[in-house]
Amino acid sequence: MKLTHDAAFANWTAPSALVLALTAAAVAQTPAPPPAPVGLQGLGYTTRPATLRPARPIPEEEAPAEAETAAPAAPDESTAAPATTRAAEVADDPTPIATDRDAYDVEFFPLPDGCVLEVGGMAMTSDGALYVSTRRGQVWRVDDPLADDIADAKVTLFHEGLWEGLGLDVVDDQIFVVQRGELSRLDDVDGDGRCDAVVTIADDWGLSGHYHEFAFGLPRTADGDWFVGLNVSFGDPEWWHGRSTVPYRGWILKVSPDGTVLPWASGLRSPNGIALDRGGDLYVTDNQGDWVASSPIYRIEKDRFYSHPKSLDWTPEYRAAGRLADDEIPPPEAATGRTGPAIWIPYQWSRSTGNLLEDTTNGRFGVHDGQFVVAELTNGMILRAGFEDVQGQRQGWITPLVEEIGSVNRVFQAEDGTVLCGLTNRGWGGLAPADGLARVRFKGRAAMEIESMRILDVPEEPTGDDADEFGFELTLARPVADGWAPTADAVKLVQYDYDYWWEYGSPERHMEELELASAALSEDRTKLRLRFAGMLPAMCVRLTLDGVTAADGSPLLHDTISYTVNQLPSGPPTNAYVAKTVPPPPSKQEGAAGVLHLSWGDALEQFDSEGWELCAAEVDAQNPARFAITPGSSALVNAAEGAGDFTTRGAFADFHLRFDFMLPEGGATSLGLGNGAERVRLVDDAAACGGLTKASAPPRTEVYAGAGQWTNVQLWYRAERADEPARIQRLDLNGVTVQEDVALAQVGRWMRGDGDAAAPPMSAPIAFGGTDGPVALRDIRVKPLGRPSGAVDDPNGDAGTDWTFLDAAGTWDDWEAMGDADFSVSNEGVAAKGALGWLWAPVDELGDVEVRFRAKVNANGAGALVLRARDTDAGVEGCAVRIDASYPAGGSTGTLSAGDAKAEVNATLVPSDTWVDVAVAIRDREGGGTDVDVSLNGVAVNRLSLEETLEPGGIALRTDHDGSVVRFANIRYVELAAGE
Amino acid sequence: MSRGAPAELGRIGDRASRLPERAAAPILVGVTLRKDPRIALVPLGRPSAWAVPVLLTLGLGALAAPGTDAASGEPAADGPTADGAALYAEHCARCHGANGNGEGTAELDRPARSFLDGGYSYGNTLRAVERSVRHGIPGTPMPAFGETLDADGIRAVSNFVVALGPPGTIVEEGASVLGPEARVEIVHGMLPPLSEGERVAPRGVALGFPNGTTFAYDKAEGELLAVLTGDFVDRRDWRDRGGAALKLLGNVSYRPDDAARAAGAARRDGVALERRVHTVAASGADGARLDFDLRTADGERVGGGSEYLGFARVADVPVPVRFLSVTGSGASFAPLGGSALALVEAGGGREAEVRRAGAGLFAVDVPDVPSVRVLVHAEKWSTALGDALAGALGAESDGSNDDGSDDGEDA
Repeated sequence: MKLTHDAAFANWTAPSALVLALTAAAVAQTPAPPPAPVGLQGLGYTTRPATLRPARPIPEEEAPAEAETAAPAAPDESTAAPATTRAAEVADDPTPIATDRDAYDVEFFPLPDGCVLEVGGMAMTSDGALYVSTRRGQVWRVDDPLADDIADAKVTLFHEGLWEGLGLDVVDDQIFVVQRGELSRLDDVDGDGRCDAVVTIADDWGLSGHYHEFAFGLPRTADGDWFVGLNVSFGDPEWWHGRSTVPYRGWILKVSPDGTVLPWASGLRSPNGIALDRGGDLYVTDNQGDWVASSPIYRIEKDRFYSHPKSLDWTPEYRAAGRLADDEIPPPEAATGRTGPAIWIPYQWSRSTGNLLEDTTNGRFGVHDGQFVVAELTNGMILRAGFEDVQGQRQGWITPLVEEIGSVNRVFQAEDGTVLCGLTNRGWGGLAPADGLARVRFKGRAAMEIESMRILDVPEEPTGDDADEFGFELTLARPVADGWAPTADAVKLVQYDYDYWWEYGSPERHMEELELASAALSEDRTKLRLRFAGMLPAMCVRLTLDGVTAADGSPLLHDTISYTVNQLPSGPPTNAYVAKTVPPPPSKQEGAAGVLHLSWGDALEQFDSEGWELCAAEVDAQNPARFAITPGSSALVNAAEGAGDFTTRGAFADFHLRFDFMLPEGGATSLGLGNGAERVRLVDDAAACGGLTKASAPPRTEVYAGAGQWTNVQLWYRAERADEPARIQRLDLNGVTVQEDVALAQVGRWMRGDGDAAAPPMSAPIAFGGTDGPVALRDIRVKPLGRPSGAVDDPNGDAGTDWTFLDAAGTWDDWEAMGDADFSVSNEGVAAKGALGWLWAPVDELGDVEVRFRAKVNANGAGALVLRARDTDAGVEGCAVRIDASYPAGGSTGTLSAGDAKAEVNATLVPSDTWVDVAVAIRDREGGGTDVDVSLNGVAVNRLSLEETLEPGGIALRTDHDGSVVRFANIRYVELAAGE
Repeated sequence: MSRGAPAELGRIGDRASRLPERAAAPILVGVTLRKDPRIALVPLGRPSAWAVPVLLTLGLGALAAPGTDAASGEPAADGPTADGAALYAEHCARCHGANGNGEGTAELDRPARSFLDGGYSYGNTLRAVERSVRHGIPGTPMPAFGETLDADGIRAVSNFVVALGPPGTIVEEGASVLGPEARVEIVHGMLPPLSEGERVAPRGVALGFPNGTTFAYDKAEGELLAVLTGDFVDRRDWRDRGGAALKLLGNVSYRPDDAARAAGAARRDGVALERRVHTVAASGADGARLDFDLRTADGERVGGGSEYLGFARVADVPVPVRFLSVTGSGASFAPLGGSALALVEAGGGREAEVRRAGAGLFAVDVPDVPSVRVLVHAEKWSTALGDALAGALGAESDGSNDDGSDDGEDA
């Protein structure tokens, strides 16, 4: 919709720069406001430092001179209720409202012995009794729930024996409850106050028996149909992947009283809260997790797809084609056929959202009629939300309302405005109390709150540079005290979005603080119009007001409000989503195969790193020639006195290297290649950065962006060979090529060799200079190109060796399994799924041997290949080569262990779900003892020297624990001659 | 342990070709790694190469919990029980904060959980937290500690973490046991397999009678699964996050066989009709009723019916009786072969015929009324049972047995 100026915004004060400056000074001298209410401040946001400059004065065009005559236009006229009566009451009581308990009473119902209310649903019968269904499958009747003295309410059992009751409805005084497996009517046939007949209304949905298959409800349309939500279950063993193994898991269903079940909308993960507004619009809250970045509130429309792909398996299209949604690859529907939430609730406010309701009591709850009350378990509160339609899409705002109630799963509103809060957190987590029933009542005096928020279009008659300045209009519940003005240091707005991916939730991405471009406060000091530079569609914002109090000193109880900008009010509508489809994390990409991540895990372990530290660094504002170092893990810095070069332990021949570096002002470092064949200059000087020292080659173009900026380096390097010098095939800074095909100096060492042209190319460590002043590095990855043999057609260096392949046959003949793992074989090798188990390869006892194989392990999984394996009374013993991409330290892929002896790899050189070529050689030493060497992707990474000689033994594959999926392929071995 | 011999680890088989037939161990939940000395583990309490320097660098060494040497982080002594607080300080505090507030010193892509408010990705049960500790959480910086810590350590640190949070709802052992007292209890829930090789019944219903009898039905199929005697049911889904199967506490006294299922099935034109139970109702302390629709295999509703549950009392022993009645054009029970073992007065001057309908079950039919059948759960037919049944049916039995025997046992 196109928002326009209206008469409501007459008589804006239009502060000049001078007024602003004076006001800012006045604010600075005002005594500190009363302590902020408990809650939000403790949930602290991270934002960029505030810019302390006053906002541009509001242009005349935005300050029309007519008198203010009406409330601002709202999408629904009913949402505009007067706040003036409450303001008048406040005037009678001079006590400031300092906490939400000054505005609301929160009382818990006393419960009879043995009654534990783990509330899943609530509704009232015509006699004013409240029926409460619980996760224990009980239904309790609360007589006189609105009694003045809560102790006068009487709680009695109506029924026991349902399989959960996460939604309850009352139709003509009959009780309907959605159980896990059916929607039921509970009849009291003999009138003794107890249910004695359970009538199945509908049960036409799947139930596999997995524990995570809840059925949520239970709003009813004007036509008498219900909506029910089904969540997805979890995978096995990939338990973090949602599953929809039976029909309509992950759907919202429309259920008719005649039992007809109509699949209504798909793409839900765990839609715990379902509500209809008085206009019949359906809202659903979902729970953060895979494919769900944070807690959303969707407006649900028929046949639409919302987020979680697994539900798509039950669409007619998928069923007809026999398609199944992928666990990790976003479905095609995600790009264009998805409907985003109307509101993304910030993670800090909600990690587990309950249901919601539209307040229809015309302010009796102290909430504007038409606004929504939202239940929240984890932080244990209720929030307040409002919606509007912008360019055909619903979106809106949300802010906390009453905090520290307990794990509120359900809210229900009585006609007098009282909101009944049903609690439960069993197995889910959330603020204490964990269960029970509370009622929250408005005391009649309005707190100072941000009452509502709506998005503003660009000015109708822009004055020039404000042509693209969208903004928000905030209505405050009460006039803001004199002395406060909407200056840039009192109004903060951050903008952010999310990733849409299979992983659990999403960080807030692209976080940016937007500059307050203009601000105006209405003459009655209750309305703020704020405009910001750079507002984008398909983003969320959080807006914080600082220092706001009411005239009587009542603080702004909740100073932050979040708004989901699906669309801006004008301009071409976007087809982007707040949660944007991103490639799966780098570790899952095909291109990650073969890459060694040198700075993952314990980065220092992979380098000779005297004087280097893992920390966080930025250019010191006091002394820009230095870094300010803080604890952290985002940078490797040569922080200590006398730091040396940062040199890889492994040696590389041909490789592709990528890393980021950052320098302070005047800083310098270099990249050492080929044992001194060349040093690439990386200096705080764009004309020189990327130049080659020995080859005297300046960079082709000036790319380096400056001190304090991370610069990306990509280098393709070809090592020196007997018959040719080393080459820099290409060097890119920030994606721009600055060197190409430069031959480097012969370093001589090679020439002293035996001159055999077939000899492998020279391998050398990679060295990052650490002696020329401060430098910060991060995300160092190297992909060896080619293998030690260097032959293109023999990437594994197998040529000339008579390998015995173990898994080529694709059969189980002569393999032997032991333990609790599940092994399967295919053309792609052996897949081992935990728990702990071994698979013995069909080999005789082997002594000195080299074994090569490819391996891949899932995130959080672990396994090993065991050499010289022996089945002893103490278990399978031998020397294990670990395959593990998730171990926090000391057990990453390449780690060797034999008995108590262990040689650790402390860095995640190879990410999860990525094939790695492993070669391991085990040899006895003359005079006793055994040596084991392991290389990954052709780079020697680890060695274990055992004092005692390991006895010959077999080869066993191992998976370590449940949840592990380890794949082995091309397992082959060759026995080593003595001394080889 | 020797290769080729069954071991306590659960040897799979001599030939790997049999491997795929073996179901994977229950991997998802509740699997506690058995304490097995063969699982190579990093010794408990041994600081990782990463954690210690960082802890010391940041001056957090002093936070090491009692039982550890603050300077090295090494355990002061090897104890038999893992120290959850010490393990927490060593492995968790860097990200989750020394006091669990989620404000550790590590810079993370996304904030670590605060345990103080009970926020856990996969739930706050000990089991769920143990799983997160063991496997980590994909997509987050939470690593897997399944190899760093042994089962004791994981349990200890998980207990410590759960205790940091707000108290959850605790269901004490036994508190979830339901027992019918004055009225028949109708309990919906998932019924576990009653014998090996059977499937669970996710849509199950159990009717518990104060006299100690339980009737367990698969509600989706409308089929009796078992009659049990003893205590009623443990509602195990009251624990953790819910969703667990009911645990029937009684002893199974009856399970239907094929003959019994055939005797209980309504037919039309010789084809068995499907039952869809739509109402389960209790009547006082010793009566209950299931109402069902009768449908063809195509799902067409062709009739309905009821199954009444009650008891005939023989020497104060309740004998379960199911009174089946169907309506709808052509719906009836298939006549049973053979001559009647006994006759029972069925009121209105009619006599009902008793025939065996499978092991432990007798069918009582009134000739020419094929839409009604009474099933009596007894091993043997006796005059006393006939009398009691006649009483239950509202008539006196004439006590006659057509074979003159008191024992209608037939092979």
